[in-house]
Amino acid sequence: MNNSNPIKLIILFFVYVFIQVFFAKNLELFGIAFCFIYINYLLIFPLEIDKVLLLILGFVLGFLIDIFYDTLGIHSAACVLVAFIRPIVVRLMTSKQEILAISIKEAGFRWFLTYALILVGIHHFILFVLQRFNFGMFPGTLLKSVASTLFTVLVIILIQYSFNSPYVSHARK
Amino acid sequence: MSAIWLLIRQYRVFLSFIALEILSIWLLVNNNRYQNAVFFNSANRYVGVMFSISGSVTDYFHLKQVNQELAWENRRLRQLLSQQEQKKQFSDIEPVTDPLIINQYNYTLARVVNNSTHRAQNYMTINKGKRHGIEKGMGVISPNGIVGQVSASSEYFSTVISVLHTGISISAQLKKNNELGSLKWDGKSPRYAKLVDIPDYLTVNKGDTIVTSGFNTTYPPKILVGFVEQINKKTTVSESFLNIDVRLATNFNRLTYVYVVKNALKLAKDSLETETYEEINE
Repeated sequence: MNNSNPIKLIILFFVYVFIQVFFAKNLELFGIAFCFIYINYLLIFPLEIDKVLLLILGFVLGFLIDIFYDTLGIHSAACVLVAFIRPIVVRLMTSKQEILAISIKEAGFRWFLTYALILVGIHHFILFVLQRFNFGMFPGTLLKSVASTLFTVLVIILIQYSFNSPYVSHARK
Repeated sequence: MSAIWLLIRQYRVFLSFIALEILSIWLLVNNNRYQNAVFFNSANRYVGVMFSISGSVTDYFHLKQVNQELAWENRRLRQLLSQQEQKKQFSDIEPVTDPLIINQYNYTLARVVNNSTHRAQNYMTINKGKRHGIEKGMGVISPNGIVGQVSASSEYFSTVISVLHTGISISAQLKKNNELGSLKWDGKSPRYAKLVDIPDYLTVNKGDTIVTSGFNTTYPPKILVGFVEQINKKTTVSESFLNIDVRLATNFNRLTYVYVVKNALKLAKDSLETETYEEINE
């Protein structure tokens, strides 16, 4: 894959922040499921990126979201963790199946769904735990993380089918 | 020396991960430690302006509900006004003429530009700041009931600690017998809070109205807080206070316009009280 156009990636970065802050922030199902779609940016970032750069990118992304959510540190902590474990998850999951890019088109539906569930699940769980920090309401936190994970993953899958991942070269096939 | 560099190079991913996590946690802890020293970002001009723009679009979706609320409030205010007129006409008591007493509470209209309800500590941002005379500690109410208290203000925006904040308690009373209690949020549902410190020999019924007491200087007295939803059973026999669930009058999910209350006699009352406490403690 050599279609990781840096300008496209930068624009996409701001598009995700914009969508999260002005649209997804208002999405809420039954008071327990929230949508943090911006995490998709870290999920489908091109495979070749340097690991340290991915960490920094995760931090900056989380920090920007934090500024708009008035929760300094929470989103950055969760994003940095996702950026850190992403290469590990990819390595573990590619031991059986070689992939060229992270998308349904390249890796298959089941591979992508497992990958998204793991990373989004960890991100949301950390997010809700940090929000409740000094608060002993574990069952509620767990319920919120599970419901929100399903919600966000559903939206991520829909995006995959709608845009067929912007990183996949259409000319290649 | 070169061995150290080699080690750093080898573990650079892990080391930068640890560094960034520490930075995040540091930001998190530093911004939550002092509830009062909190100066949130959306009181910051740029973020505030962006939320104002987004708010000017979403305002249209709330128009119908805002209109209803305003009409309802107008009706209530008209009723109050006519009651006041009637009282003046038929009472023999000398009416209060001191303008400072009459104008003790001053209301500023503000729009909520950013709001949260699903955290343990909820804040909102309003589009009025120091420039409009908003100061830390002022009360914020909506047409339906109490909303919160100003925690910080910048030139054009202010952040408000919502009633939906686990660290806040509000002096409230039962409207029917003026019995004092304090209202606390338990962090669960944005529609309900708890009223504590009401002694258990009192009869409290479902649906009883709860209003602010006016004993603290943040809110004017007799502002609607909510209604008794349910009186919980005591967990231990020795407990002598009721544990009451309150359905909040304000719908925090749909807040659009709020009033910031400026109490002209706040300083006078507070300083007198501090003086008295100091005397007692001496």
